[in-house]
Amino acid sequence: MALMRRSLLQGSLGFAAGSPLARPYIANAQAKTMSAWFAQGFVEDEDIALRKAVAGYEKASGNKVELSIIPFAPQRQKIVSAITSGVVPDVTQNNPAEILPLYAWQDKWIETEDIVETQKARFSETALKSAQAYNDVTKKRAYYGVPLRGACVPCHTWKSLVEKADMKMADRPRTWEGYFDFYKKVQDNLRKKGERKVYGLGFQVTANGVDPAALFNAFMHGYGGQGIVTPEGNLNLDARIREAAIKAAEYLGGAYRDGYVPPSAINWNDADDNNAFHAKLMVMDVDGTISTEVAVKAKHPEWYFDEIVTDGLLYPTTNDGKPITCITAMLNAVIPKGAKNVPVAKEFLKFLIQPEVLQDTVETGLGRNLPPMPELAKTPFWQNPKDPHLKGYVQQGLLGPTQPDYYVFNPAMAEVYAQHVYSKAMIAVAKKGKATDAVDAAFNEIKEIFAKYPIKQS
Amino acid sequence: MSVALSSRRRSIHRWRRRADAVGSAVLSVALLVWWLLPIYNMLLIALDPEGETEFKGDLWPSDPTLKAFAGVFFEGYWYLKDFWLQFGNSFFIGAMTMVLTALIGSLGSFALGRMWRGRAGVISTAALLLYTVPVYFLVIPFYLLMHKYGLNDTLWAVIAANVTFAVPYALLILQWYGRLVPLELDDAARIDGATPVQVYMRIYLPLMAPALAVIGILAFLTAWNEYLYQFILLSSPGNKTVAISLATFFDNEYTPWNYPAAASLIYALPPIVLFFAVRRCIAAGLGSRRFRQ
Repeated sequence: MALMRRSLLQGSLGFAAGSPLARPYIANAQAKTMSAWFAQGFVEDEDIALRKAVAGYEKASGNKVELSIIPFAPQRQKIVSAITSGVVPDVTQNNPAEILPLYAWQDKWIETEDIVETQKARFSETALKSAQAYNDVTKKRAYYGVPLRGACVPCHTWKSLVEKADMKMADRPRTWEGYFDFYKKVQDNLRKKGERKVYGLGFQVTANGVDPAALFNAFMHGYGGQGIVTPEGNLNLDARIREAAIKAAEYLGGAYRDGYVPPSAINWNDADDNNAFHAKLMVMDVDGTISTEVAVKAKHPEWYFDEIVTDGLLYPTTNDGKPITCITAMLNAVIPKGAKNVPVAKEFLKFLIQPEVLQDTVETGLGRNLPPMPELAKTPFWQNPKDPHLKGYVQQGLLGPTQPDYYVFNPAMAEVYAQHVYSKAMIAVAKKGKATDAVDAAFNEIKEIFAKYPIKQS
Repeated sequence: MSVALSSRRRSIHRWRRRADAVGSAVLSVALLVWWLLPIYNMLLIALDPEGETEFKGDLWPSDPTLKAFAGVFFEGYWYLKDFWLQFGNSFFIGAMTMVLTALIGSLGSFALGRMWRGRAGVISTAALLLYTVPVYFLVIPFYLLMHKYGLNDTLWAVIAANVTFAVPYALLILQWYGRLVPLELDDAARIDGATPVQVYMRIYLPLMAPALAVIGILAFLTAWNEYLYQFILLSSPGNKTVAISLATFFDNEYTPWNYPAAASLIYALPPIVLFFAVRRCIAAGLGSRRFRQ
């Protein structure tokens, strides 16, 4: 027994003594190893392209990237857990997008200007603005993100349903209200033909997810109400903005109230409008990215090529015929404070934003993601004349007039979205309330939220 | 008259028994259908060549195929590329959670119920307070704790979390079950010179086997079906589990649902095998020969 104990102790001591000798190789390798959490692609090729980019960097640098590919939706939980606890990866993404300005406010990101600088001339202005945020600790705005890809909100229409109502796509007015009124007429005609279950408009008049805020913003811009937050981060609720907000609330809530929106829309979550659209529950939908189209491409190519129309290039104008500035949300790479290997993380991101690498990682997404550099929109992929959706989408979200979402200018707007302030206004009108009262209540709530995020002007 | 009455009563009694039997059978079948319908539906989806989820009224797919099962076995679909590695990780987490929960639970219940009988109930009830906090809110403290212990991104971090949540319930059940084991057995063993360890090993554990089997299965199932802690605590591709992998399917509009359905059916096999393996042990109960001896 004593012999056993002694031999066990000796063995343990020997193992403990030997460990440091065996470890230098690992320790050395760890010094050049970084961890990265990236969102999983929607098709396998996206992941393959990302892995290829990582392998390319590893080969070029001799460093190692521990890449963890995580599903997009739950990635948020993991990132929030990591940042909250302070145990962070070296690189991750701003998923949800609002965390870039929110955590920048709390000084939780490493500055990234030196990374962005390597490709600064190539990035769109919107991409560059989206990578910046205000830091409430340093009291200045700086780069905290590295733009990887973008997305905007186009309109999607079932051409076949419009034709079923004996109407023509070419007859759609190009001005804002006329454009959406057209779909009300489509529904009226479908009802006359005995079609009871199809609705004209797929508005997300709900208090779930991020879609309602994007929809309300689109309508604010459609009614000429651009600029509720200035690029300096100040709240602007002047008469022009108020009038646009009232019209937006009235049109969106009113369409629901008047029966032009599926009744279930009041409970929709982010993916529900896509599903309802695919089920032909409504003639048109206003929804971010062209995932609506891309999702059916493999299984129903006839839908993709012939039946569904994306209005990106032919996105309506304001009621007085002016082009509308579209909000393009950007996905950025970020380096959290507390990251163990910042130099390698920065080097990796410099590699990742080279145009040829970005092109590969963006285009493998079948067009769901927009590139952050205008020159990448001129490739055969985006300009393919045989594809009915890509050219218009990239025009709307990258080459046309764009701007970042308002939370980029002030993180208060992220809280406005999270509190579903716009949704409450839309729903109040849907329940037969007055749009003016609903908007006044919304603006009071917005003022209270913005009071918590004062931005010092330099 | 009385013979006729008696015959009529017997007849009514027979009818009642038959009605009871028929009622029980109908209820049993209804419950069975209710429980098995989702699994049957999953099988239909797994056998469908395209993984169609829409039920078209067919009780069996018109063109059934084992393509999805082959995709899982040979890791042919891109989300299932490391399926067997992940399966191994899930099994390791489940098995270790089961063993450690049974071990810690039995030691705890033995100490509280047999050796320190005074305020034992207070301690085991206090442990249950853990369940009053939603597990969702404990994930960040756990994440931080595991990092401090150097266990982050290891399977042991998830095992530790699972065991933490399983042990209070195990303690409660084992303590209550332990009350059925007469304390006189311990006293008799001690008089014969048995140490506490011997009492635990030779008397307590064998007699607690049915309860331990139940606790073990529950702990295994909890670990097997748990997702949040696995997702948050594990990051490296080599440490991922089937629960994490299956969740990836929900993030994709292209998902051919036959693959996750087939993977889920295969994933459901170990708990079923485990249940049948220990079923006899559970049924044996306190009436076993060992207890009588």
